[in-house]
Amino acid sequence: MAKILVVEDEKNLRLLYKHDIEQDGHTVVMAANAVEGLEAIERESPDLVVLDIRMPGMDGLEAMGRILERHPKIPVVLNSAYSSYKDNFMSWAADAYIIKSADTTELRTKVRELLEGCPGGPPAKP
Amino acid sequence: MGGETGSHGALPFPCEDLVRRVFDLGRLGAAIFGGDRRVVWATGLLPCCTAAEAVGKTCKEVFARSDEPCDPCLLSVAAEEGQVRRILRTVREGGAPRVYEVQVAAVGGGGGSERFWIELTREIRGAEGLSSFFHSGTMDLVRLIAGWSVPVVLVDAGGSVRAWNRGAAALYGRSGEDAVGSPWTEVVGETLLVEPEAIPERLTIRYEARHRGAAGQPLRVMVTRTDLLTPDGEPEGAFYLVLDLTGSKELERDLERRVAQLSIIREIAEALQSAMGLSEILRAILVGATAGEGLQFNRAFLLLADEKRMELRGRVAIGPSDPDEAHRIWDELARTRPSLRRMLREYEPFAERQSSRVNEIVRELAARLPDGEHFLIRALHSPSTVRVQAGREMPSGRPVHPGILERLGVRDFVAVPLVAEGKPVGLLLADNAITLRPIEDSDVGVLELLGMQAGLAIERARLIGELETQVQSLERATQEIRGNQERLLRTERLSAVGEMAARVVHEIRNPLVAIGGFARSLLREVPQQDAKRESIQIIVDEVRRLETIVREVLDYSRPVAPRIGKVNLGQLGSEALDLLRWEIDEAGVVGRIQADADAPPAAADRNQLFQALVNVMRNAVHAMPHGGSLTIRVREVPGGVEMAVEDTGVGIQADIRGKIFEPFFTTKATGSGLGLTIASQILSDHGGEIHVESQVGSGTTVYFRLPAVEEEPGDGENPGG
Repeated sequence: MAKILVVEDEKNLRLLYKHDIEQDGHTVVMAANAVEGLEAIERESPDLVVLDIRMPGMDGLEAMGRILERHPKIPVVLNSAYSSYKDNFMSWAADAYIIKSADTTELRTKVRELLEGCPGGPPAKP
Repeated sequence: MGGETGSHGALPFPCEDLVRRVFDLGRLGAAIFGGDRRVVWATGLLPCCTAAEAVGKTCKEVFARSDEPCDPCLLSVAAEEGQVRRILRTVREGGAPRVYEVQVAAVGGGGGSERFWIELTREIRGAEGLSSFFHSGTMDLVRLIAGWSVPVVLVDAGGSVRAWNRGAAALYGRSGEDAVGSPWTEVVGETLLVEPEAIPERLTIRYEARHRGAAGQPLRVMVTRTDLLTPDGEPEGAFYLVLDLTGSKELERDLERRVAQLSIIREIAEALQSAMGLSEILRAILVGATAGEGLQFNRAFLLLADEKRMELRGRVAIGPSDPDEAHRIWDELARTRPSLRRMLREYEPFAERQSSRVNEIVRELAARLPDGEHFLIRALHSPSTVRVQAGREMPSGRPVHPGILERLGVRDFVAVPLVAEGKPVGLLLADNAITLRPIEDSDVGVLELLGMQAGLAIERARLIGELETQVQSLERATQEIRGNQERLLRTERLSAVGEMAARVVHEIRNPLVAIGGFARSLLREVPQQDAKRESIQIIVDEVRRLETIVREVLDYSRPVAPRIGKVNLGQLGSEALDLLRWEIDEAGVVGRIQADADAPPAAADRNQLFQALVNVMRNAVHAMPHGGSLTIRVREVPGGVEMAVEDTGVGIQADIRGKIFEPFFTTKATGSGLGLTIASQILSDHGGEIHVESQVGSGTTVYFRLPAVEEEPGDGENPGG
């Protein structure tokens, strides 16, 4: 259905997300870091971006800022092992902040909602 | 003339017969000496020989066996002085002495006629002789002894007084008439003190005794007794010579008492030196004042000055309540004779037994320190001991307030001020309420010595008490600090551990996601009946469990935001200017701060507020690409404090002014559009607000409004505090 860009530096997790999200019928494009991710956006024009925060080099928050400068309308889901970034105001610009889990249901649900145009907006403050 | 009638020689006087008869009647021996000092006539009662044999002998030959020296020669003395001379002569014949009374008178002579002396002798026998000897006033020796100030008493063989000289009359206060005839021991009230010391050759013994003096007072005496024997060796009586030792004995006793007092003082001083607590010291002072040989004072009362309460108050006392109690206690003390140390040690039961009444009394004694007219206060400030006799201060005679006399129940007492370094710290009162013994100067002296020690000890105890209090609070403070330090260390350690744990836990998440994720995936793909399903399910379950733990750990260690503190907005502005110094200078902008001195600090999270301010200031700088001025103003406003960031830049156009706080709205090519959004979020988190005023071409001002820090606990509600 849609094209999802997943930016995640850990290979196994990339595979997992690709595997799971593709099961929902979407196409998954992957990037291993923020720079690759930015390039992938220009190249692939995805419908939604799933962004890890802690990555070597540019982190997910800065990447999100850059992405939204160019493509203010694209839904961004922050997907992080760390919950502490929820306190960072930058993260409020994201449409969703998911804590990584082996159960990818929450992530995939959020992706579906955003693609369907459900009222996203900044998530409730912590 | 010349008949043989018992005398010989020729009497140069007529009527020889008559004369002879007279002499015989009086049992007097007589010899008449001529100018050549030889017997011319004699009677038969001479000691040496018969009358016939005596004629022609010298005076000395008549008393040939006399062991008395003839100095002065009686005949010469009689001739010179023309008086009758009287003397006792002892003649020893075969060991037994015989006493003769001899009288010599010069007769005739003068004008060239022959000189004659009549010597009359009479043997003295028995008491009659002795007393007549004493009562005779004409013989020098007797006169001397009679008039002597040294008491000499003559006592007969039966022990009764026969003669009593002036010294004896003075010492014993009785005249001779009064004393004569009464038994010696009764007259002088003798009790032996020491076994008599005998001096054999001289029939003398010496001993010490107690006699009763003229005023009935006890005398300590040394008696020398010389026995008198008849010529036959029979005891005839005795001489008593009395030496009054009372004066020196009293000196001796006084000395002993002073030495005892000094040793008590020393013991008390030692106790005071080593005692630390005030109650120990007070105890030692009181025991020192009343203990001791024969009890120096019966009762002692201690009053202490309390500077905080501005009063002099009785604290503690020692002493019996009544004579019965006193005797019980003093008998026991005499029996057990406890050492001073023991008395101090056993003070408590000792005090309890006797002291309830005196402690009642002492607690009633009080005066306010400023009351300069009060007796107790005057005594406190007196430079020396105040003695009260018959209810009056000595020596001024000023009467002591009857209230005090009534409370104490005595009219004689002493008050010793206790002084430390020139400052009076207490008062010691002492009296002899039980024995009513007059207070002597030496007693007062001892008490004063005690007082000096006592004042110092009391002051020392007070200082030590203060020192202990200080030390205690220092110890408490140190403990608190140590506790805080430890808590801090623990917290740091914990937080370090926590940080590490958080990091580790975070790192665990990713692998967990991979493990669990793929396990889930497998589970979805493995058919229902497959045995492998169970194993995979286990992996999924365990991963879920681990994730729960991870989440809980991380939730627990997540920091709380924001942390509100006191933020001085002026300072914050300076720091922001410093941070942006390069950008400001590059743009050719002049930055300055105008902060009101009395603007209160804002209640805010410093870091977050700093971030908001920097964002806004960056916007301002970017609005002035060709230079301008950036001014930060801080002032107090109702409800809090306001900081304004004013620039002289391009300004914001009216139609977009509403959108500037929207996320990602930016007019800049390189801007995230989030600065103002974040700033507005921060301000609303703090309960404050942000608003913007702008004019195109003139500039923009962004206003932060924040609640001020609540100062002291207010007397009313503080809105938005």
